[in-house]
Amino acid sequence: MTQACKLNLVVAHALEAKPLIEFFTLTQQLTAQPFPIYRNQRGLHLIVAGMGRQAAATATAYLGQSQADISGTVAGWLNVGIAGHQQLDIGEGVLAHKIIEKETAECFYPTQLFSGFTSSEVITVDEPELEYPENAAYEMEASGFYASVLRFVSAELAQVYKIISDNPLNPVKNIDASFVCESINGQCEQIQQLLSGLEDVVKQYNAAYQLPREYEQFASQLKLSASYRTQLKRLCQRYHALGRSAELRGLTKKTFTSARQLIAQLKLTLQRSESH
Amino acid sequence: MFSAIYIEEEVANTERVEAILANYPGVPQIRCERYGEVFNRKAQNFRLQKQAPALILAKKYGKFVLPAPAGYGFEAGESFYFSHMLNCVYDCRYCFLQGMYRSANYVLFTNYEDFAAAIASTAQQVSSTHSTGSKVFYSGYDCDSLALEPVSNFCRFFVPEFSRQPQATLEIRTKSTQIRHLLEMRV
Repeated sequence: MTQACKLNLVVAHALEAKPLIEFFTLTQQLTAQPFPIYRNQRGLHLIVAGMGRQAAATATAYLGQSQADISGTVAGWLNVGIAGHQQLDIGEGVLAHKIIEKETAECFYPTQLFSGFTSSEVITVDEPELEYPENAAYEMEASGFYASVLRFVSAELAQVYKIISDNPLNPVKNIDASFVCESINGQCEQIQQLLSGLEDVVKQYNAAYQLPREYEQFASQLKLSASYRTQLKRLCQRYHALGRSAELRGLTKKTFTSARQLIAQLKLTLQRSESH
Repeated sequence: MFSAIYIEEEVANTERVEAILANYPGVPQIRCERYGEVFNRKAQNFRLQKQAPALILAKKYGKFVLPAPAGYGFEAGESFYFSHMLNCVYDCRYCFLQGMYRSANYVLFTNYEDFAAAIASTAQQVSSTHSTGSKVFYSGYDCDSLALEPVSNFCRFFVPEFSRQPQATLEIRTKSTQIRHLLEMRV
């Protein structure tokens, strides 16, 4: 059975989460968690991190760690939230093409895989920006999210999408709870489109890099040292990459008395067929 | 054609870069300090990037011309290579470039004049120590020399430069059909 592709949404505030929970039919996981987590049957998870880049980093790390599994499958990640912008209109959505952490000047560059979205520089600040000095989206979580998520996935599988909630003509003091919900609600279709694109990329990645099922079958039969585990992983991936998964499956039906014997047989079968 | 164009601050306001950018008004143009921030970062996937590669416009510092390894040159004389570009638009299965770098993005070093000066200097140095044979300089080690000619104008710049260096020969290696600029040149 094909496992549902995991996609993770990271938001700062419950007000940002509410329209997404409704739109994607998410239900809260009721087990005790340091962060509220919601999910649906299709593998979409949403975590409410709290405000600020450190909260975003911690929540991302928590969710990423809780999803880590031996098979090597990864999830797609999307940070969604409101932001202020020097020039863009209220309600517009932007995909981050560069994230700058104002405090440290550290920069991140999400890979631009998805067309049809306006892109912008995103500057993560520690206090709400009132002056908008640069032509960029100002918010408070993206750099923390991105620094953390890169420990789990590559830059192609993590994106940042911000909805403009304030600009020089419409200052941040005018924002209230209902406005935040409306802003996010107005971009749910675009967020769904982005998630759909991310899902395609994640499926491609997992199809190519996921550890073959045979690895777990072999690993459960024998006691493997760290070195043999690494060799076994590489050999299983090699069979898979060469389109010889059927041969690998055939070998799982044999009995091996030791890891050394298993590794030797895998190498021999590979070499024998390569020489023909 | 490019998912994004990254531009090093150092070359952002140069004529060559501005001419390239003018051809891609709808593509996100992203500034960076050094191309390595994007090209050499750890958490990136070559295969996924290959589907939507970006162009990185940068300045090369040093090592403009390198000697060809022993056994890989030409019998005629000393051999050298230079790389104005990193990565190739093609995806040939057998090619060492597929995955040699962490990134699948194309890096184009736009300071052609520095390359030309180094080539001239190298050609002169070798000429003073070796009296026979033309010095061969080949492009195409880290890229396909002509595949992005409409963007890079590599031939447009370097062929005339080599015409001024009678003791140097330029060898171009390509799988593309981008020879229009060569055909337009006067012999």
